[in-house]
Order: sequence, then C-alpha cells, then structure tokens
Amino acid sequence: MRILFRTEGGFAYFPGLSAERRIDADALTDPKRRALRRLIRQARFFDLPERVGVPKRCPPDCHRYFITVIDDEDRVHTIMTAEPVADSRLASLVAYLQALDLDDDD
Amino acid sequence: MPNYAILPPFILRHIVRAGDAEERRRAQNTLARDRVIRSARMDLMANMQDVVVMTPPPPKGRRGRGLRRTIYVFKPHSRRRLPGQRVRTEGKPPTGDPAVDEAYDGLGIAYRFLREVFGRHSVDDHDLPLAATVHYSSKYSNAFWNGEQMVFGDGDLKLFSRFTGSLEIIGHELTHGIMQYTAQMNYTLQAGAVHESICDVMGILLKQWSLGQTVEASDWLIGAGLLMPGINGAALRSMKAPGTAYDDPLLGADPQPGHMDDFRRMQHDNGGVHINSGIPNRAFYLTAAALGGNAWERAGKVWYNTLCDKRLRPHYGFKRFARLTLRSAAELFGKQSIEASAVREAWAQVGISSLEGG
Ligand SMILES: [Zn+2]
Repeated sequence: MRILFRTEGGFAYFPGLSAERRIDADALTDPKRRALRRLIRQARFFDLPERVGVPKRCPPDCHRYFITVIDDEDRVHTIMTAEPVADSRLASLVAYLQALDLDDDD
Repeated sequence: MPNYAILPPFILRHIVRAGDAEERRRAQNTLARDRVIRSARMDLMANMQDVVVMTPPPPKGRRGRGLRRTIYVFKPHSRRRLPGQRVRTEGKPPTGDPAVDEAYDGLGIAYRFLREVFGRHSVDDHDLPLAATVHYSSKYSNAFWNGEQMVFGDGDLKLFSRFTGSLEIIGHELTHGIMQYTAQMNYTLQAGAVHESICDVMGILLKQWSLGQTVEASDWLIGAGLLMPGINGAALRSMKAPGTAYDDPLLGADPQPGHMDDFRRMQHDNGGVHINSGIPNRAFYLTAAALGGNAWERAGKVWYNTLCDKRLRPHYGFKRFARLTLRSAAELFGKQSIEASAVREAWAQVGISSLEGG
C-alpha cells in the first residue's frame, strides 16, 4: 500500500514542506504500518467522496490536504479535504500522516 | 517507462483501455489524482474571477460593550467542532495554561491597540466579542481565522512551537477578521498577497505598539520565536528583508521576494499569497523607516486608512493598492507631506512606480 500526501496553504509557505510526501507502507515499521492501515480502514477512505468538507472559498491561512491511497489490490482513490476536518476519523488519518511527515527514522 | 504524471488525459484514457495491467493501473492512478487536483485548481480560478464586490456583513457586535474575550480549548476526541470547550471568559483569572493565557492576553492587547491607535471597536468596529480556540487538533502547526474566530495550534514541537506565542500572529489572524468586515480582499494572486500583507502589517504594528518599539528597534519579523531551537531561521517572514527569515534543510529557504523583479508566479499557496506579500510588506517597512519614530503613528495610519477605504476593491493588485496608500497619505497628511513622499518612494523602491493618476 502506498500513500501520497500533500498539504496546501497555511499561515506561511515553506518550500521544504510543500512537496508531496510519498509513504510506502512496506517501508514502515510493523506497528506504524498496522496503525496506518487501521486508520485508512476506519476512515472508510475508499468510500469517501473526492471532496470532503471543502468550502468553495477556504478561510485565510487554512490548510487543505490531498490524500491518495493505492491499496494492495491497486485500487486508487484521491480525496481533498480542508481544515477544520469535521470527520473525526479522517482527521485522525490526517494527523497521523502529518506526524509521519516529521519522523526521520522510517 | 513514460512519466504518467505528465501524459495528457486522452493518452492516459487510451492506456486504461489498451494497456497491460501495470500500465492500466498507473494510468488510472494518475487520472484519478488529476481529477481531484483539477477540482482544486478550479476553486482557485473561480476565486480569481470572483471580483464581485460583496457588501461587508453587518457588524455582529454591539458598540459600547467593550472588550469581551472567550478562550476555548479544542476537544479532538469528542465533537470536532469549533469553538470547543470554554475555559476562560472576560475578567477571569489566568488558567495557568500558557496557550489559553497567551491568547487571552494577546486579544486584550489587540483590542486596546485597535481602539487607542485607530479608534476601532474590535474586529467589526462594533465590539464584536473576540473568540479564540487553542490546542487545536494535535501537534498542529498553524493558525487561522475561520470566518468567526481565531484558531491556534500547539505546533509539532519539532519545527514549530505554539502559535499563540507570537503576538504578531494573533494580530495577523485578527486582521483577517477585520478584512472580512471592511475591504473583503480576495485571497488569490496579487490581491491575496495584498490581503496577506495587510495582516502582517497590522500584526507587526501590534507587536511594536505593545512593546513601545520604534521603527529602528523593531525586528520586523513575523513569527519571531516560533521556530524550534535547531531550526535555522529567525521567523516565518521578514518585512524588512523578505527572503531572509529562514534557510533550513527541513523548511527550505524563505522564498519571499522584496521587489517586483522577483515576483513569483505559481499555483501553490493560492497563487503565492504568502510569498509575494513580501513586496508590499517591504513597501510598508520602507515607508515606516523613512518616517522613523513609531510606525503606527504615521505609516500605520496610512495603511489602516487604506484598508478601510471604500475605494479599495477586492481584486486590487499591488499597483492599485499602492495608489490608494498614496491617496490616503495625501488625505491624512497633505499632498506635499513627507508622509506622501515616503509612501511614493517606498513603492518605487520595490518596483512599483507612477502612482499618480489612474
Ligand atoms: Zn494570513
């Protein structure tokens, strides 16, 4: 399973943080991979519409997220969502992806 | 192996029909992602064309009620709704939670600043109660205005610390609120960069006023102290020297230009609103530096007057905004005043000239 994650917008623009992050689940440690799979399942990611709670005009300084998941059966789904992410399960997935972004050790 | 990301959609659709399994999979992936990215781009374009002047919403507050603050704490695990749980209201003692108390104090300073310097009664000029939510989400590295209130994250504590720690960020977010009740500037391209710059200007003025700092004493940094130790940078933006705030392996290098020659055309960041804002930011700094003393007394009055000016339209870019600042300076201080010539000269130094007429 692979995940592509990109954050757009926010209080400031940082070149180093604006690139799309590619996460290969196989490269993660076992607990992280399991957590990620669980979060994707709980968010019912493949059943989500392409836009989840994205207003026509995003508020100033607001983050928007683009998430693509390619699962082991090669199903692919991309969604866009925006802060505040009202769906708590999707919010958990976003928070996890953000935290993974910070880890150097995987 | 072709790069699927750059193939035109009609070729990708052909591959989906005719390719082998691997080719088909890759093409489908790219098509699906493109659809979502296109949808985001259409938002941007729709906002760009959105030059209709909307009348600002009627004030929500009641003039004369004075300062009323409410600080909330976000509850990520119950209902993920803003504002969250109320933890400190007006007149209540400190809670001991630094984020709560920083937000409370910061909003108080901001209210007094608007009132004493500009005669403005809160965000809507009618004593709109000020609300802020802190501890938003988890390790959240951002602050924003959601149309009704401010929202602050605690930072990831690796790159960023608490967003309530910088008074200029509180002032910046509050000014997004003021813009909603005044100029309603667009949030894309040059107009968006003007919008962003006005928020930085008000943010830095708030900090300078609260510290009693002159133009010379100020660091002119937005988000000073926000970067964690070990990150190579002083702040998120520098108004005095755009492009010099940070240069770090993780964050990259500060991309802000300080002159029209380096203006950046891009799709990210709503068309570079937090990048090209460096140009009008520096024009403000240069105006204030030329006048010396307290920036809020003269340069700040000119900019504030401009943001309240009914002639400022939501889609105005740098040049038309610059013209209005010059008109404001002339109206406030006189056509031949040193304030007016400081404004004219400052814009010329960032590559925006011929402001008379139009
Ligand atoms: Zn902003």
